[in-house]
Amino acid sequence: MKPEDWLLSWRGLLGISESFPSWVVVIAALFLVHFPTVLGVGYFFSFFERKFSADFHARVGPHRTGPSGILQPLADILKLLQKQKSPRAKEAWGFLLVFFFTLGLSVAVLPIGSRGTLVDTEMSAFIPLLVAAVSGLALLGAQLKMKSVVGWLGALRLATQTVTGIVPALICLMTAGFAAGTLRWEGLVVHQGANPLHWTAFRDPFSAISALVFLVSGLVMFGLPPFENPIQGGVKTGYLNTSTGNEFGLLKFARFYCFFLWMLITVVLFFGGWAMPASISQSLKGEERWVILFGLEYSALLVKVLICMSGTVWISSVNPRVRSDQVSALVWKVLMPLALIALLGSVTVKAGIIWIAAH
Amino acid sequence: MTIFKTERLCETSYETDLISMTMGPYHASLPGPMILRLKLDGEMIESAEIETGFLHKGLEKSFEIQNWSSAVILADHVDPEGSFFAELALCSAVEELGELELPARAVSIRTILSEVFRLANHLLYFAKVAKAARSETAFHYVMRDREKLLDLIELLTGARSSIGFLRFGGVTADITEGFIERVLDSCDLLRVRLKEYNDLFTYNQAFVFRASSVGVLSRELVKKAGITGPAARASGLDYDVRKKNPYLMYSELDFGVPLGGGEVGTQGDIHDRFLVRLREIEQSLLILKQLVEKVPSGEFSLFQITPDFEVPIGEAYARVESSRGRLGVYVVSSGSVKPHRVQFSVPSQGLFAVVPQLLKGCYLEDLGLILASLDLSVTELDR
Repeated sequence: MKPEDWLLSWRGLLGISESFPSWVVVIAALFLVHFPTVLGVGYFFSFFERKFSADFHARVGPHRTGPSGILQPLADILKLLQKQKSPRAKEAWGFLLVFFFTLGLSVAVLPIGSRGTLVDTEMSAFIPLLVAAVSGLALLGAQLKMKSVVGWLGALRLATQTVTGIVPALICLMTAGFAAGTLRWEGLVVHQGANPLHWTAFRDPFSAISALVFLVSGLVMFGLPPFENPIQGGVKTGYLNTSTGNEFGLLKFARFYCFFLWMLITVVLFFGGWAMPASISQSLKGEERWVILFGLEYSALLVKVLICMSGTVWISSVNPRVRSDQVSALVWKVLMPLALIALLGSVTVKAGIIWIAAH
Repeated sequence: MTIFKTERLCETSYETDLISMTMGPYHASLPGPMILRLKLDGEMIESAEIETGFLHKGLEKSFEIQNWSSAVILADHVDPEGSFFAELALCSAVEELGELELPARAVSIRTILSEVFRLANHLLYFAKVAKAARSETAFHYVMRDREKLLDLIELLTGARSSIGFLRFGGVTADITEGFIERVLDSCDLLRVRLKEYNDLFTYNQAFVFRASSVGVLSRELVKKAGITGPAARASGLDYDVRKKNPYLMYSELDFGVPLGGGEVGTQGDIHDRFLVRLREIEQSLLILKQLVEKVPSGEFSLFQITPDFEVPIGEAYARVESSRGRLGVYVVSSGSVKPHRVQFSVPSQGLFAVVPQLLKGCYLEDLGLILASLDLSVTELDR
């Protein structure tokens, strides 16, 4: 998509006339669409996760604040904002700034629709992995600056998990890119289409393995359930246990955002992304109905993302946790070989198809 | 010379110090108020020191300044989770001193209550280990099922934990209508649940990875520290007070004493201690079924205890098999209305003694699970 097409659709989406410069459109898109979207999904998912896991635990979950407890996340946010911040956190403000800034940058590459993605290049798919690496290191630096033993150990575990998880994730990313012939979000989605049988994850068994390995690698990289020992640890020795107040709230939200980001990318790479039946999307594009197009595509995307997130919450609610070194062993001894087999298998299958077609 | 100098520089630059970490007196992973001072080499625990005593309330001294009629209530506070066992031990010692022959019905009621408490405590242990392994689902399921047992205890005694139910010469109240049926229903339910727990947690690969060959308590260490109970039996020591020194109705009952065998790892590891408790739950269900089929009729107590109740001069020692191990009580009476001396020997004493040795060489992440698997009670240790 050419930059002017992209800007045109955003101007239409936000109702900004052509007299305003492009950077105004970008800022408006970020603050009026992307950030509120992430915050809104975060709010809803926080409530949903608590109710969902409560169902697995045979208990009720939040039910006092608002109808069915829907206002509980808001109550938690307001409570955390009032709590005193740890004095140690002031020492680490530089590292925490890097951490949150890196996460904020990744919002620009969020693949949220054919006209909703701000930055769609061949490098966009690598940004989340960069986010994982930088955020892991930034947290490591922050905990070292805070001189907290438990936080430092937790951050070290997270950094270890990040480094181990990145490798199979990169290999699976290459598998998906190889299958589609591109790593641009638009290209990946167009290649898969709306038909589930054409999604990358269901094309052949190797791609299915690749999808699973990619998903699990991301959970390991970001220290998400069920691999969240760096966060809280078995003895409450994780980096989150040294945080208080709004810093704690922001770190918890950052954790959710990483979860959301990774599920979003997994869906786009392997499960068709925002693809809708061609008849609907073509007619909406032809009539330049950007708001409806964006709404439908984003809804389709969110439904898939929430299904993925729910499945992950289900599995992590039911199972115990393993140690960080056992997680690393899982990655190196299981995920890495599977990722390599999936890549080789996908390449072989595709080469075979091309050869058969040629002959 | 230059090479030698470079090597020395490398050695100096890689010199590291151990990390000192103090946990407590209040920490989510500790079994109660205690301080645990650790020296860590990265994630590995190099040494551990324990400091306890924060819950010391002079309980044994309190026995000496209260009357015999209050002694059973005080015994509840030895271990609030297993309050029955301390009461039973005390009553047994005093009844031996006074040469009291209990009515058969009272003995039967005590035996039933003993097994119900054992079941409740074993389920609590399950929940603690599940929580330490961060399996929230297993934790909540087990606690939900434990409520049924606590309801049974409340139906019989009027309370859920510190029951104050036993009296010298019997029990406070008779079993009510419907109690036996509810015991049988609870047994049937738990039999079904045990299978669910095994599917959900016991043989879950994640838990097996965490628990096998971790926190291994060797048989030699168990003997040296005087550890008894499920922790000792998991290490292969075949000692159960109910079999070796039978009391109440245990000599008439048919039940087994499970031992650890290193089923998925090493004998005496966390998984063995966990499995032994699960198998003891099965045995307790078997015992309860036998007990409720033959509850004898008759009185439930010999006499009413009055504030001027006196115990003949003498001393006696009684031991019972609590859910943690052998709980002994040594009682000395001077013939007055107040005890001269009451001293408890609790199973947690031996367990706490081995904690520093057990933690050495383990990962910090395993600390919570190891402590949970030992089933330590700071309350009964400090008294």
